[in-house]
Parts: sequence; structure tokens; C-alpha cells
Amino acid sequence: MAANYEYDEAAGHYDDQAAALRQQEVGYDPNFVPDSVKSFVVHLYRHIREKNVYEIHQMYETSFQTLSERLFKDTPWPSVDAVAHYVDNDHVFCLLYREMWFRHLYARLSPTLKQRIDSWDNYCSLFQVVLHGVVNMQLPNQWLWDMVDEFVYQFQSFCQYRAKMKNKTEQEIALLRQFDQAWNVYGVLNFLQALVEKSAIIHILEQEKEGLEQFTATDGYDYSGGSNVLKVLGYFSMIGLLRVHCLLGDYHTGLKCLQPIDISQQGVYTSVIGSHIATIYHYGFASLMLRRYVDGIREFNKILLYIYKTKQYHQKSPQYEQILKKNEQMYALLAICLSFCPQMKLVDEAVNAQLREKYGEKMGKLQRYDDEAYGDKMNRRQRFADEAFGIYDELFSYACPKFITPSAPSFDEPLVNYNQDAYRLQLKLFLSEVRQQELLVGARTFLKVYSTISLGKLANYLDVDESTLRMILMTYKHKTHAVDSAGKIISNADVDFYIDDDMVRVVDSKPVKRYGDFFLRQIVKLEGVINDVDRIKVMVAYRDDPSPSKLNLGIGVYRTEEGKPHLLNVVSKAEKLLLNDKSVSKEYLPITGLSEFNQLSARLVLGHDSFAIKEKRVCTVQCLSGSGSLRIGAELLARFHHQHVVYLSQPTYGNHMNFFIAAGITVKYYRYYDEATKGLDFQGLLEDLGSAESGAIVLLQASSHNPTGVDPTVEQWEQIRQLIRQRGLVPFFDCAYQVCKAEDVACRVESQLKLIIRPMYSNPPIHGAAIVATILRDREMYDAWTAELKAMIVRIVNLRHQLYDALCERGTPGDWKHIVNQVGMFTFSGLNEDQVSFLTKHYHIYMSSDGRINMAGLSSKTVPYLANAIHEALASVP
Amino acid sequence: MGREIEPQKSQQQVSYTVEQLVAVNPYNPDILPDLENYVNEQVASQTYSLDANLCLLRLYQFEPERLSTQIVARILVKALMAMPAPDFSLCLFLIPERVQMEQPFKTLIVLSHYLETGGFRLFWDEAAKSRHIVDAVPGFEQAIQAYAVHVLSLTYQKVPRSVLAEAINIEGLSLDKFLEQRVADRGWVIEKGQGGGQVIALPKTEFNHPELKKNSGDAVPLDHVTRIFPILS
Repeated sequence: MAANYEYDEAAGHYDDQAAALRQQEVGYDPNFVPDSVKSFVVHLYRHIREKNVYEIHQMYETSFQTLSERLFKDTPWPSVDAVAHYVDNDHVFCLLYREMWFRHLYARLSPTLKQRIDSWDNYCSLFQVVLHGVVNMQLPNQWLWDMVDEFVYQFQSFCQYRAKMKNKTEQEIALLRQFDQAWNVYGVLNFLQALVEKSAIIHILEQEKEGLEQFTATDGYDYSGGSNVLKVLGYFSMIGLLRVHCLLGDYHTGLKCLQPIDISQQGVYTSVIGSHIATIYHYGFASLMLRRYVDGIREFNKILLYIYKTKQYHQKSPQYEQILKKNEQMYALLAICLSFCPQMKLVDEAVNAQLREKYGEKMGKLQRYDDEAYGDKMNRRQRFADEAFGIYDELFSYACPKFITPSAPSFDEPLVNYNQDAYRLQLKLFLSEVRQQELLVGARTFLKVYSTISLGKLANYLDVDESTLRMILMTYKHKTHAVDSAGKIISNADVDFYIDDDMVRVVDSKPVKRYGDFFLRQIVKLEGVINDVDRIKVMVAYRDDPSPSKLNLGIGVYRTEEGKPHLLNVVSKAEKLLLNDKSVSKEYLPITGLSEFNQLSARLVLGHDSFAIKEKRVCTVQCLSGSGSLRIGAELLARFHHQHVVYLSQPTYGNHMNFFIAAGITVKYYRYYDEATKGLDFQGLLEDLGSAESGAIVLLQASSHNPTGVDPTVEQWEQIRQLIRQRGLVPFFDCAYQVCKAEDVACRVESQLKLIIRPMYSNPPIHGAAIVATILRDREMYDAWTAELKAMIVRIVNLRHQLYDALCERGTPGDWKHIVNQVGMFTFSGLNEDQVSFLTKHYHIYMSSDGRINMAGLSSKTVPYLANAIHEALASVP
Repeated sequence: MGREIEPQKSQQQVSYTVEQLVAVNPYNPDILPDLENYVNEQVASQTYSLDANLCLLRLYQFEPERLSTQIVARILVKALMAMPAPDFSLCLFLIPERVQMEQPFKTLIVLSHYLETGGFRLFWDEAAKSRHIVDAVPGFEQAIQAYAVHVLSLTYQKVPRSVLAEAINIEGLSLDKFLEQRVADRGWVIEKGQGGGQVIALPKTEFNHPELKKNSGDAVPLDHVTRIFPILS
């Protein structure tokens, strides 16, 4: 992307101060457009036209907020008419601008009735344009979610406003009568419904389950040149409908609208924190009202844990306060659910701790049935019940949605406020549920401590007669057995019991731990620990070994003939140069890293005259080290590639598996190394890749295969290339270079890479990249570097030959040709674990237990020593 | 599952047109008369559609002046018959409070309260006083009896005859006949209880025989297991 496209939000700052000052003096002038606003709309418009989702997202999320904060703290933005000519009077852009304009107004000021009506008109025009399919842009999910969210919010706000009839002016009432279609409930519902239907999103999600369509895998974005706007608006409208129905008290229909979205899994709804929270909050609330307590507890627990873990990342988000508010409300709802259905085992430890802190005392009171310390028995029980009632009232009122009365007032009758009516009704019905379950607290208390108890005895403890007790127990069963949407009975019971004639038998329900997941996690962890321990063991043992002839052939570090880690001369030279160069700053790098480093290294890897580079099909990103690059690459594939399977060579670098598992990709293996020939198992490789599922990712190492040092020949590479193309597989080279199909694809890939990197580490470090760029930029240094590299390679090749010759001289049994044939730093010697430990024990030679030798750790002096050792090991250890 | 929906089972007979309207165009004031007719049709043909009825209540909520007390009452009686499903509450959530304060809704709310809290004796007494409300809907008694049997079989392995009689409001010879039929086609067993009276052993479900509960949810998907093989080898 050319530099002049980059929007710089800090530019024009001084100018802004003048603009702000002017505003203070002459007041808000809707026609005055400060330069920074001009620049903002021009750039935003350009990025939208060019479908640069990342840049749009940045400008939308950050720049808009910053400018609002700086210039429009308590005034609206300039009117759309004033900015329209900067954006070619583009109709859709103007509608989008107005949408943001009103949103800003609602957030910072209080809208007049006229403005509410205008905003409604703007939504009508905007949604109509989208519904007619003439929008071909790609907008960030965040923005599209905000549109739906704000639309429902403004509807809710309008209903609240309209219901406060008492203090309306005559003019307002006249307007309300005249524009009775504005924010009409039918209109609101039908727009949302039309977006769902027109987008065919339900069909798309169904097709996706069968692998026929992609939506979730690309986060709703369209990478084949289309637009994501209608699809994603349709998707979010399902959540919008859930919310509107909850506001109306229609929980059943609300949940039905959400049904196409599988909330047991991640989806596009989780890609925006606001939509994630809104979905679960309303889902959980509706579940509570439908008495599906376990569903509510489970989902509240999941999202509260998620918020708990990720809260810090959202601190700068404009939604942060809203997130915290909903977080608190969901704790209150969780407290209610758990009081109706005390299943603490469903709640995670961290969430439980928070819950105790916030509502521990209240929940204790809700569970309290009797306490001898408080006066006469019947009185105190009544008092506890009343106190519980009050707490339920308080929790519900704090945490419930802002219910609305959707109907218009009748203007002819005396004007009354009816804005509390809807809330009062829902509260009343909720509290009558509380009353119906009031007596269950006592029964629960006793059932928990008995395994068998006669009805008579239990009735006596509860101070009720036997027939009332039977009623209580039936109520308990009824209330804890919900009917799900398919009509199936689902048990929410925390205590299992049954009555046998006149005995109550309580079934000891041992908490069943979920071992499966735990088991898997521990195995992966264990493997990591074992690897670490192995490596550290070798390192420590080497360090503590007093023998003067000790030899470290373990970790893959290039060493000099003297066995010291090697620093290239040209690198120290570049470092000195940088140190003296006053023009070099230590600024933060852009997310994608040092651009010169990226350009130069792309050329290095793909060649000076690469067509891919010329055609701008290359996208380069500076990551953190080789492993870091792989992790980013894996993440990119996980998000945007539909086939979540990767094939790794058997064996491969131990960490490869972890990158892909962390990204949620299933790991499989293809045969690579042949024990017998100590070379490539080419037949096995072809067979395994030939039967791989179409679209699977294949991890290939460009050269010097780690750990075997075995590379395919040029002819074999060609065959692999053909097979990959023919099978529709995706090659992924460990060296982090990918070549794209077309220039705009490369741009979009870059955009997405930024979205991945941003929340991980934001900016890569500058130091290493600057050194590399310094060397690659300078012809002389570049030559010096290649010369040094060549020398290193020659040294290793020599060492390979020396070792091979030495083993042949000694007549060591076996064919050692592979030592010469293999390339790179490593040699897979073929020594087994016992032989390796023999080397360590008797010869003080340290290497990894799979027999991998770091050739660079050897020197001409130590080759005979190693050859002797191997000879001896093979003779004495089978 | 213990839930017997027999009295309202013949749902297939109804024409699908109204259902389709509700599915395709639910937010349309013009379908209100169709939905009202559909409620009457449900009453006459002993069928039931919660979605259609909620859709109608929603339209009433949007335009309260069009609300018909008679239709709402019928919807609520049908919702009672759908117990143990929470349909009655679902409907109440949509009916304005001032409407709920009037008759026959006050009575219906009391009836619902008794059913929700296992007070079958109270329920049948109250229903007897309000025949005009419930008799208008065919199949009412059988539906409530089915719900009562559902709750009993959640709660009891063996239920005393007197408790059953009270819950389903059938006594004496009629009860004998009722039991005879259940023994024949539902696997009920009549035994002698501790106190000498009859007890009825209800069919086993996972709710009254918790040992039947399947321990689901701890299955590990195969491809998760396969990915640990390389580690184990």
C-alpha cells in the first residue's frame, strides 16, 4: 500500500485545537469541517472503496473515538451535507456517516424527538440500500454489529421516551402523531426479519454444517470479491431479534430467533465482544425465565470466565464500560439461577470466587431456611422468606433488560406515564415464580442430609402436614424438570430422590468429574514438560560435566571450531553502524514490522526477479522469530482456511505440533524419514499426501529438514508440487513465505494478519530487523554476509565428510552415507536412545536422545573423538 | 419421558397455512383475524400451536385495542393443558397487567398456581367452580390428568392409590377402570403398600429411578484422542 494512503490521525492536531477553540467561541456550526475531519472522511471513504477491512476497522474503532473525544465532546459531528462533497456525494457513505453521526449524538447528548425520527429515517434508507443488494463493500464486523445493536437500542430508547407522556409538549405530541411510523414496532421487527431472510443467513449456516459453504471460517468476510454487509447484518439481526423479543417479554420466540446460531461453539457472534455478551446475556435471561436454569448457568459461567480472562484487553475499547456493566448484571443473574438451582459444580473456580465476593452474602440469605439464633421458629422462617423475596426483587431489577411497551399511547385519554408498566409486569411474574418455589429451600436443606427419610418425619421437620409435603416434593420435581424446545424433559435437579409409598429415598449423586478433557490437556502438557526436561537435562549435564573432552551436540546453534557460539562479523559491523547512526529511532514499529526488512527479505527468499513480487502478490510480515512466524501463520490458516487439518512430516521439529494445536487445527502426519535408509521415505510421503483430505494444509520445510537433515531432491520436489496441486492441498513452508494469487488478495491477507498480530503482541521489536535491513540494503555488507555464510556451510560440509571418512576407516558397522547426503546443521545419526546414553556416559558427548547431531557443534579436532565414541557405542550397545 | 401428550396428539390434522403465515410473516397485523380463528380451530380440533398463539398475543401487545378477552382466555386454557411446559407463563409475560387483573384471567392464574405447586386437590375444586371457563375447551380434564401423571411419575416409584386419585380427580369404580387400562397398556403395576392400601408402581424413568440416568457428556471425540498418539509413541 502506498504511503500516502496511510491515515495519520495525529496530523492536524494543532489545527484541531484551533477548531475546538472556535467551537467554544461561536458555538456548534454544523457546516464547519475541521481539517482532521476532512482527512478522516476522505481516508475512510477511500479505504471503504478499496475494501481495506483492517484500516476501516482502525479508523472506525480508534480514530472516530479520538476525534470525538478531541473535537466533539459535547457537540455533534459536522452535518452530512458539509462533508458530502469530500466523498463524491457517495450515497451509501453518507448514510453510514449519518448512522455514526446519530450514534455519537445518542451517546454524548440527548436526542430531540426530531432527531430520533431522522435517525429512524436514516436506518430505513440504509437498510433498504443493503436489502436491495447494491452495497458491495466489506465492513468490519464490529461496525456491522454496532449498527444492529444501536438500531435496537434506539428503538428501546424511543419506546421509553414515548411512554413518558406526562411532560410532553404539545409540539412533541403533534410530532408523535404525525410520524407514527417512526420506530414503530412492526417496522423494527420487519427490518430485522428482512435482513435475516434476504441474507439467507440461516441457509448459509446450514450449508456450512455440511461443508458446502464458508461463513464462520472467514468470520463472515467474503474473500471472493463479494460483500459481507448483508450476510453479516442478517447474522447479527438474529441476535437483534432475540434482544427485541426479550425486551417485549417474549422469551420463547427470542430463543427461537437465535436457534440457527450454535452458541455451544465459537462463531461470528464471538468475533465482536459486544455481540458475544449481548447474545449470552439475553440467552441466559430467557433461559432463566423459561426455568432452564442449567442452560443459563452454563452459558453465564462460560462468558463470565471469558470476560474475567480477557477484560484487560478491552480496557481501551469504547465498549469497556458497557462490558463491565453487563458483567455485573450477569453475575446477578447467575446468582439467581444458582439460588433456584444450586449446582455449583457447573461453575468455574474463578467465576465462583467473583460470585462469592459480589453476591456471597445475598446468596447465603436466599438459601437460608432456618437459623435457631433468631427468635421463634415460624416467625423467623417467615422473615427469612420475606428477606429472600426482597433480594430476588433487587437482583432482578438490577439485572433485567429494559423492558418496553411497544404500543403507541392513546393521545385522547389523559396523558399518563406508562414507561414502567412492562418492567413491573415481568418483575411481578418473576416474583410469583419465586413464591411458588419458596418452600423448596427447606425441603432441599433436609434432603441433602438424609439418604432415607419417611414422609411423616420430614413433614414434621418442615412443620407441614403430609399432604402439603407431597405437594412440596412434587413442586420440587416439576420445577427442576424443564421442558426443552423439542419437548424433552431436562433435569435441572441438584438433589435426586424418589418416593416409594411413604418413604423418601435420596440418591447419592456423587459429583462426576469430567476426566476426558482433563486427560487430554494433561497429556499435551506432559509432552511439553518432558521435552523441556530432556533439553534442560542435556544442557545441565553438559555444563556440570568436568571432563575436558566434553562435547555438546544438542541444541541447534552454530559454533566455531573452538566450540563457542558464533557471531557473524558482518552482524557486529551492522550493529556498530546502527549505534552511530543518529537518524535511527527506536520508535514502535508498525504492526507488520520494518517495511524495508520485509521487502528485502522477501526478495532474498523468493529471488531478485520473482514474478510474485513484481505482481505484488507477496505479503510479508515481520514476526517474533521463526517459531513466532509459524504461530501467526497457523492462526491465519485456522481463521480463514476451511479445512482445519494439517499434515506434518514424521518426524518434525517438536514444536510444530504445538503451533497448530494452539490454533485449533487437527494435526496428522505424513511419512518422511525412512529408518532403514536413513533417507527420505518418498513412497510413503506420496501415499500419505495422496490420501489426505482435500484442502488439508501440508507443512513443508524449505530446506535442511529439522530434525532429520533429509531433503527431497529437485525432481522429488517437483513431484510433491504436482501432487499438492492435484489434490488441492495447501503447502505451508516453514520459513513463513506464502505467495498469493493476486495483488488485492495480498492486501487483504495483510489486513487479516494485522488483526491477528494486534491482540497478540501489537508491534515486533525493531533491533534485529534493523540489523538485517542494514545488511541486506548494503551491497558490500550483503556480499560479506554471503561469504561468511558460505564459509559456515563449507565448514559443516567438511565436517560431514570428515565424520563419514572417520567412521568408514574404523569399519564401524552400518552404512554412513546419509551423513554426507543429509544437509543443514543436523544429522540424524540413527543412534538409538541407549547408544546416545552410552556416548554421554563414557564419552561426555551430549545430544538429544533421538540421535540428532548438531554438526556445527563439531570441529575437525573433535571428529575423531566422536567417531571413536560411535564405533564403541555400536559395538557395545545393540 | 413421563410426559403424556395424548389428549392433544392429533396436531397433524390442522391445515398448515396459518403455521406458514406465522413462520414467514410473523410481524404482520393483517394476520390477526386468521390467528384468532386458528385459536378457535385449535379448541375445536383439540390441536395446539404455541408459536401461533404467542404470535397472536404479540399482535395484541402491539395493538391492545384489538385484544379479545375471549380468545386470550382460550389461549390460556390451552396453555394450561400444555403443562408441564411453561407455556402459561410465556403467555402471561405478553398480556398487559390490567387485563390479568380481570376475570376470567384471575381464576386461570389461580388454577395455574395450583398446578405449578402440585396442589391438585385445590386445583380440581377450583376448576369445578369455574366450569364455564374450562368446559369450553374439549380435552381439558384429560390433559390435566396427563400432567398430573407426569409429575407423579417424576416423583414416585410407588404412589398410594389415594394420592393418585386426588391428583387425577378420579375415584372409586372409575379409578378401577382407569387403572385397569393403564395396567394393560402402560405397564402400571398394582401392589399392596406398607399400610395395607393399594400402591401403584409407575413405569421406570430416569427421573424416578436415577440409576437409569445415562452418564453422558464425558465422551472424548476420536480425533482428539488420535492427536495424542504421536506423543505416546
